[in-house]
Amino acid sequence: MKNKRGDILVENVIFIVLNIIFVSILILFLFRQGSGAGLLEQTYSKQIALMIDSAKPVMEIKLNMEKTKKIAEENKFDFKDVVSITGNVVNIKLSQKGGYEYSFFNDVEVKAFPETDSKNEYTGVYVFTINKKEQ
Amino acid sequence: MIIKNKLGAEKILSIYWFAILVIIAGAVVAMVSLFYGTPYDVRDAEANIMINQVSNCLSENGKLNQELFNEDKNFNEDYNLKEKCNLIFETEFKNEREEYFLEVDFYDLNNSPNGVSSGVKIFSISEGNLNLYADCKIENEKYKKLSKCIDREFYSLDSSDNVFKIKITSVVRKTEKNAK
Repeated sequence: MKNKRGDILVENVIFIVLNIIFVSILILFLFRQGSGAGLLEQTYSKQIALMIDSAKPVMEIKLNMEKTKKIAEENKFDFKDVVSITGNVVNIKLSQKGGYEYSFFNDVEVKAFPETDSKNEYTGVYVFTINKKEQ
Repeated sequence: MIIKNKLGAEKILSIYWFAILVIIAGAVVAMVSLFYGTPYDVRDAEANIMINQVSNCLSENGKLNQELFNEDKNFNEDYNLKEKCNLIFETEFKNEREEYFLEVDFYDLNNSPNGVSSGVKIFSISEGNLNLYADCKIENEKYKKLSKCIDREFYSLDSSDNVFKIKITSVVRKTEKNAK
């Protein structure tokens, strides 16, 4: 009788632990999906393209990209290579593979570079300078 | 006998419970993948920004840009909208065609015939891929994702204080990047 009671308790504990593990995996999956590199690449490239479209020469825009800095560091990818602008196309890369590009229609000259502090370390902010295109 | 049946029932119950967990997990994964797999559609914002840029370049402080008119005070047929408004429609994407279309219509509100309060269209400029304009006319829901079309109007004066209504239509395709 004593043994039987003990078995039931162990079964219940295992059942509860398994449920907790299941729910934890689901929550972890949701968080990982929401902050994935692919999603961030897409959102930042579109956000930067729209930002450039709305800008006028001469402007300097600072964009906080700390989230991308974290992911780039995790992927051992240099933060200064995260944003690249070729012609009128913005490309965001958070790893060696992949990347997402989006074009803008504003015919301006754009330069992008990461901001550094006094110790020459990246602050997580990207600076965009918008100038008139030289003919 | 009763104990044996109870154990059997518990086993069946645990199999059902396991099946329910798998179904719930599958549904959550499917919903999340569907939600995050759909690209953000920013074409509305893009088309609106383009209209703002064009309207700012055509009219300043409520007066139409003088470059729109020739020496005879008629509309300048050679007005280069893309060049004057700093627009670039060509992209360096692989296998990508022109993704924008822009049309500006000028309506004369001074010499409107009786009953036409919206004015008479006297001049029009367009740039970009004209084929995209057809997408705006499609009513079918299935094809509505093809291109985003935005129309906006504003009023402005020329140097002789004649009133004009300016209607700007902006069409952005970029379907592959914005719709699934």
